[in-house]
Amino acid sequence: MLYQQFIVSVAVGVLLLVLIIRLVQRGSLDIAYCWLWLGVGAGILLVVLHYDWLTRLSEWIGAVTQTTTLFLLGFMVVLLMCLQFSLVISAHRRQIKRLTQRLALLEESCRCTKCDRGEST
Amino acid sequence: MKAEPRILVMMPALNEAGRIGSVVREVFSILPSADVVVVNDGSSDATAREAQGAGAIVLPHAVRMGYGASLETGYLYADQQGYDVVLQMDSDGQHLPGELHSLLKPLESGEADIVIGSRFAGGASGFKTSFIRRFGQRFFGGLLWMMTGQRFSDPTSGFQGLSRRAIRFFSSGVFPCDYPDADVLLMAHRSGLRIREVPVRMVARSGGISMHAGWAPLYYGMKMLLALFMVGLNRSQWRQWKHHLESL
Repeated sequence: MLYQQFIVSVAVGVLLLVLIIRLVQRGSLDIAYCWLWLGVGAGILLVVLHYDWLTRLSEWIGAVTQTTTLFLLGFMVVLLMCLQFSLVISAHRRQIKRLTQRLALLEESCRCTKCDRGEST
Repeated sequence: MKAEPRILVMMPALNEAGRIGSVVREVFSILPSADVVVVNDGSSDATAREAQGAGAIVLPHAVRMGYGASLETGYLYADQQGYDVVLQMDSDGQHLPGELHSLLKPLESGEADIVIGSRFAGGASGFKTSFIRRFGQRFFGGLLWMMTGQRFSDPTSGFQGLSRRAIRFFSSGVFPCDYPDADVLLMAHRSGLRIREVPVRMVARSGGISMHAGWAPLYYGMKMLLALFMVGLNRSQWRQWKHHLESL
């Protein structure tokens, strides 16, 4: 690995980690959703510090160059993130549905209570 | 079942002002002892006011959640209030209140847990529908026949009657948000609920926009195929429900 490549990659990894930690610290990003991002930052540093691991992984999966392996890993991370977001959105949809239904029942219950008291609705 | 079951007529509604009031009044004229609940799924018109004015209980969704979620809200209400029978119908005038007794009979006699009002059973036809919808009904009816051994001439009909056991089952969280049709019948069948079709008359909707308009049939077909596959996979879940419902 070239010296410049090493510097840039370490800088990107460190900056990403710092950014994620700052976002969590400020409460902009939930801890629950920061793990994958921290993993990406740590992964970048790991690949830079142990470049031979990337070479071995490339040989193992049959990739011609290390760049191909990096693109593959990056693509897998993006897919994992999309899956995580889909799971979160699905859970939110279920929760919103349940809340909407409970609110509808509660409003009717409040209306009944008001009617029993003789108040206008 | 008790001698005089408590009946709830339930209608999901989305922008049905101008129609819903007369439908509710007609239901009361047919079943004076029943309660009518309208689940207003975030309508932007006077649907809620008209329904309330006609004597219905209105359950308002703060945001639009879809047809399935609206039905589920009605089931939750019925379960919470201890109704014995739920008769569900569309609020656009397509389902005739005069046919409610046809749905009620098999439930009162204890013959069935779910009664489907079919446009095509027993020669009850005359209802005009598009080729693509009729194809869908036949296709999913055929799939259901293969998966349950029971023939359904109108698996997409939302004109249904439910017993106490079916109300408990449908309000448990298994009900889908959108297009609850053949998949719901399959999960009900797998859970040991007895389903029967009765012939009913229906008329074309008197206005409003159908939820099967535009590209919706394409999504409907794909969603239903996947949903049937998923229901087929969850055998143990339905077995557990079967044991649970038998004890009710």
